[in-house]
Parts: sequence; C-alpha cells; structure tokens
Amino acid sequence: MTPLLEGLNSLLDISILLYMLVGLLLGFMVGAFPGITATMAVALAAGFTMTLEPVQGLAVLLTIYVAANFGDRVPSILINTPGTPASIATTLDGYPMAKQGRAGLALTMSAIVSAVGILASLILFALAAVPIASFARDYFKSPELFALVVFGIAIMIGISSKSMLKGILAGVFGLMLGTVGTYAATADKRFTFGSLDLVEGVNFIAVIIGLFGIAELFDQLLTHRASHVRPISSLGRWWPNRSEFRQSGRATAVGGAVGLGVGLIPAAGGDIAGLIGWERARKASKHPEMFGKGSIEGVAASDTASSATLGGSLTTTMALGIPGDSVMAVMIGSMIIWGITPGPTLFTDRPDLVVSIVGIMLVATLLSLVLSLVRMKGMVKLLDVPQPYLWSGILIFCIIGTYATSNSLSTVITMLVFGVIGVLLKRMQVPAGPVVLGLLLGPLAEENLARTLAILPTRPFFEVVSPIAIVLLVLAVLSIVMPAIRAARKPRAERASFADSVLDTASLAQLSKAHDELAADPDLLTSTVRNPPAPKTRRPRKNSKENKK
Amino acid sequence: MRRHRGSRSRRTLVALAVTAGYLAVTTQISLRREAAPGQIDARFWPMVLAVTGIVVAIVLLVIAVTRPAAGREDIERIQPGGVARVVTTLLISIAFIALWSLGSVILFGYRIEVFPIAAALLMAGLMLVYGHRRWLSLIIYTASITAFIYVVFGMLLRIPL
Repeated sequence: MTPLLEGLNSLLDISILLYMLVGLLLGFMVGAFPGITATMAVALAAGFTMTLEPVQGLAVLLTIYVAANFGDRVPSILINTPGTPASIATTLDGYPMAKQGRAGLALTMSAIVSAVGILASLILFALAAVPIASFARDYFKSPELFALVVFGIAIMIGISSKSMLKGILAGVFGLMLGTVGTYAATADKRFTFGSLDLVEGVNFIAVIIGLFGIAELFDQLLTHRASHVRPISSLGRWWPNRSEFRQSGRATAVGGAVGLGVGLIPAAGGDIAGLIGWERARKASKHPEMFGKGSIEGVAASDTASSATLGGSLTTTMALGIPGDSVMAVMIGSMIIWGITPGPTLFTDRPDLVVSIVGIMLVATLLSLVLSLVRMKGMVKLLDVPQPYLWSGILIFCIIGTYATSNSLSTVITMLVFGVIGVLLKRMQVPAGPVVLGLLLGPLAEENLARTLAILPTRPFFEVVSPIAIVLLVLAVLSIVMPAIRAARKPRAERASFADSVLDTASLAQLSKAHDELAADPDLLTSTVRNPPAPKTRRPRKNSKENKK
Repeated sequence: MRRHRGSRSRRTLVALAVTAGYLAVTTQISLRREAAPGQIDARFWPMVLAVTGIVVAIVLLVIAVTRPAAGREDIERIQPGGVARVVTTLLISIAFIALWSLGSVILFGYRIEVFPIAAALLMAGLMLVYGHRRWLSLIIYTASITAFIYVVFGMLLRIPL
C-alpha cells in the first residue's frame, strides 16, 4: 500500500473523528478564554494522550492547535484581550470594528482568513516537508545537527525575550535540566542525587505542564483583579459583502505571504507574524490611514499572517526536529513518548504520517471554520464564565494529566515545583520557551557535539564542519545579536511592550492616534458594565441597547 | 528606583547561586571511566553550561547594579491578595497530594478509595479560596467535576487514581 493510502486509511477510523471533536471543543474553549494559551492546552492534553495511538494523539493535539487559532480571535475582537498571544494583532483593528458595531463582520472575516491562512500553510507543508527532510537527511551530520540545535535555541532566545541575557540564561537553564539523568555515551549518572525518578532525566511533560500550565495559572492568581468590563454583545452584520471581500484580498495575500515566511523560521510564532503582517498590509493598502481605526483589511492581514505560520512551524518541527513554536516543542515531547522522533528520518521511516498530519489539519481547519461561523454567538457567552471555575478546573486537570504520564505522585510534585519556578521566571521576565527548548534539545546537542569533537582530530576542520554548519552558527549568533542591537538603539522608554518591539515607529504613532480618535468618539459602542458596583441590583437583560453609551 | 534595582540584584544573585551550585555539583560527578583522547566525558557539557551560566549571571548582576531598570509594562502588577491566593493554592494542592498518597483506607469495615473524597475537597477548597460563595453551585460543580474525572480517567482510561 502506498504511503498516501496508508495515511488516509489511518484517518478513516471513527475514533479519529471523535478525538478530533474533543480537540475541537478544547481548542475553541482555550482560545476563547484569555490567559489559557494553546501551548498550555496542548501541554495539558499531552498528559492524557500518551496512552493513545500516535495518530489518535496527533488528532487531539493538532486539532487543539488549529481550533485555538480560531477561538482566540473572539476575545481579541470583543474585549480587546488576545485569547492567545497569536491574536495580539487582531486587537488592533478587530476591537475598533466591534466598537463601531461591526463585531460580527470582524469575527466572520477573521474565521474565513484564518482558514485561508492555515490551508495555504498546509500546502506549504505538503510541498516542502519531504524535500527539506531529504536535504537534511543527506547533508546534516553531527556538526550540522549541533549547529541546527544551537540555531533553534538562539532564535527562540532572540524572539521570546526583551533581554537577550535573560533569554540566554533561560536557554542555559533548560540545557542544564537536559543534563539530568544518565549520560548515554558512558552511562554515568548526573545530578540524580540517588533518586531513581531522575535516572531517566526530568519528566518532560511535568516540566512543560508546570511551566506553561501551572505557572500561567499562578500568574493569573497573582494579578487577577475584579473587572466590570463585559464583551460587546451587539455584533451587527455577520457576512461580508462583495466589496469587503475584494477589499480584504490584497491584505490577505500580504498577510499570508508574511505568515508562511515567518512560520518557517524555527521558534517564530503567530504573534510576531500577525504584527508584521498587519504592518506590511498597511504599507501595501490603498487606505493605510484606516488601519487601527477598524479596518477590515487590518483584521484580514493580521489573522491570515498569524494562521499561516502553522504549516511552516509544522514543517520545521517534523522535517528538522526543531520546534517551529512553543506548541510544537510540546508536540515533539509527546511524539518522542509515542516512539516517533521528529526529524529528517521521520518521513523516510513513516511517510504515511505526512498524509495523516495534513489530513488531520485539513479536517480540523474545515470543522473549526464551520464551528466559527455557526456557533460564534454562543462562543461570546464563554467569555462570561467566572474565573474560579476556570482556575480550579485547570489545576485539577494539570494534576491528573501529569499523574497520568507516570502514575507517580512524584511527577505531580515535579510539576508543582516547575510551576513555582515558572511563575518566578515570569515575574523576572525570563521567558519559558528557551527553557523548554533547552531541555528538549540539550541531549541532542550534547550527543552531536561529542561526535563532532571525536571526529575533528582525525580529519581537516573544514571537511568535518561544512559550510552549512558554519552558516547556521553564524545565523545563530546574528539572531541573538541583531535584536539586541536593534533594541539598544531604541530609547529605553520605547521598549515597553511586545508590540512596540515588533512594529515600527510610524505604525505605533498611527495606532496611538487611532486610539485617541476612537476614545473621543461618543457614538461608538463600548464594553458594558453589566455588574455595576451597587451590590443588589438586578442584572439588566442582554440587548443591543445596553452597549450604547 | 533604588528599591527596584535592589530586587533586580537579588534576583540575579539567585541566578548566580543556582549556576554556581550547578558548577559545584558538576565537579562532583563520578566518572565510571576516563574519556578517550578527543572524546568528551560526562562532566564536559555540564561544565560548559555552568561556566556560560555564571558568566551571563555575572553580566546581569553588573547591569542590575549599574544601570536603571527598564519599564516593566509587559508584566502585570501583583494585586492585593494575589500572593495569598497562590500560597493557599499550593498548600491545598500539597494537602491533596498527601491525602491521595494514602490510596485507600479501611473505615467501618469498608475499603474506601481516598481519591474521590480528596478531589472533591480540593475543588471545594479552591473554589472557596477563589471567592466562590454560592453553596449550591459549589456542591454541584465540585461533585460533577470529581465524578467526571473519576469515571473518565479512573474507570474508562484505567489510570490508577
């Protein structure tokens, strides 16, 4: 049987559809709840999917990954708060559209262009994954693999941290964690302190659930304040007309191109792509002055760009074994537990998996699109769920998910410890991404460095270390040095937020002006205070009038 | 500003202490055999990481002492009661783990599984700590989540809870 038929055949099992439905609901919900990221949800689900067949597990995890990409636009548009970091750029024009009574239009356009972005990126994955993997398999030996790992960690450091030094420290901390356990070459035990639990290394799932799940939860507990802001509930017209579709075409194309490119850079995710896509589309637009004031082009560009990163991230993850973003880092951990090692040999060993992955993501995208268009009104209600339900639910599922990986309570304790470490790192503005990447790729880096150093004395230097390895190492250095230089050239006051570090000065000035104009317009809708400070008032009914000032 | 700088210095000192501790333990790794010429032993890579970590921590410390802090707009401010919520959550979780570790107890001649009781207490405790005061929804939510977990994970997926 050909790999194509094998891959499709594995998807025909009814259980796959059921697992995808579970992933779809989970993905939509985590996307819609601000503060719960797709990484957190996939990390959490990884604990429960370990006992499944690889294709079943991938069906759950990949569908969460896709569906979260749709769900996270809802709070961005309705309450100006990104559901996940990937939808940061959606707030720039999505929320102003909602204030103008065009939330339904923004939600629909966002869902359509997200589907377009993901489908385009899947074509990229289907076309590029096997050639990239074949190239890597033929030309990547130990020095190149070591350089690739260093490059991946360097990119993650360059992207995820405002302070390069803190990013490097995070990466080194992750690599240190990766040294715990038995050194494969000599079977020497390192940092086990006599504990049998540590002989095989630190439990990866416990670490990621701790760093991405518990740490996020603790941070919410630390910073939560009672808010009276409620989502805009007057959604207006839903379906875009022909001229709006035509108007969004160019922005979608520009955003898509940006997303596909950014997605292929290891560790770069939808958050960066969304902002760059929005900026590029503004420059290419016939009406750049409308960006930031509720432009449908802005929504189309940012959401296409952030969604189009999915296929690129998947490509670098599956073909090279270097995570395309933090969700993919978690995915690699799960796949290793299933006995599948992402990397150049994956597609020669399991060519059917490419077909299965594309099939799962394709169906997940279409299901998410349908759910977005049909149930969007119901999704708005999710934003009203009280936080105590969410927090307690997250905690118990984190505990059970971690316990399920080893049936040992010591793993749960490890998770809690990393939760505390994670929240401390977060408060110190040290990013968790490089820690996870270091832990995941550390053993690979050490193994390939050891092999390279063993070969080096026996052959000329440039015969061992190829130009590919040198280029990768130079790129690794540049990816750390360049953002540091760019940041150093900006005044300290202008390095405040993530968006500030990505967008140029002209875009920031336009956004600031647009915000001032919107704030000054008395005819716009606003997020409604439905539970005013007076304690014993009856809740007003939900209707469109309540949104008017 | 000076106070802020002081807390930054303390944090980088912690980073320095962690990396220095890692270096100290690295030097104590017992080797079963010496590495062959040109090969690296079990201490080499950790040593590289420890030295890199110490150098970075020292540079961060120097920066923390000599330069004013940059803006902290990316992280949200800790709210009153936030630390107490986290500490109480941790304590309740630890109590839950301790209770769960009992497995089962014999009471009045019956063998009783501890997990469902511990999970229900955990959920109810957390909801109360987070400020939920409606008793009916508290009981319904606690019971339904506990039952869901016990049935799905304990009985269907056969995870030995």
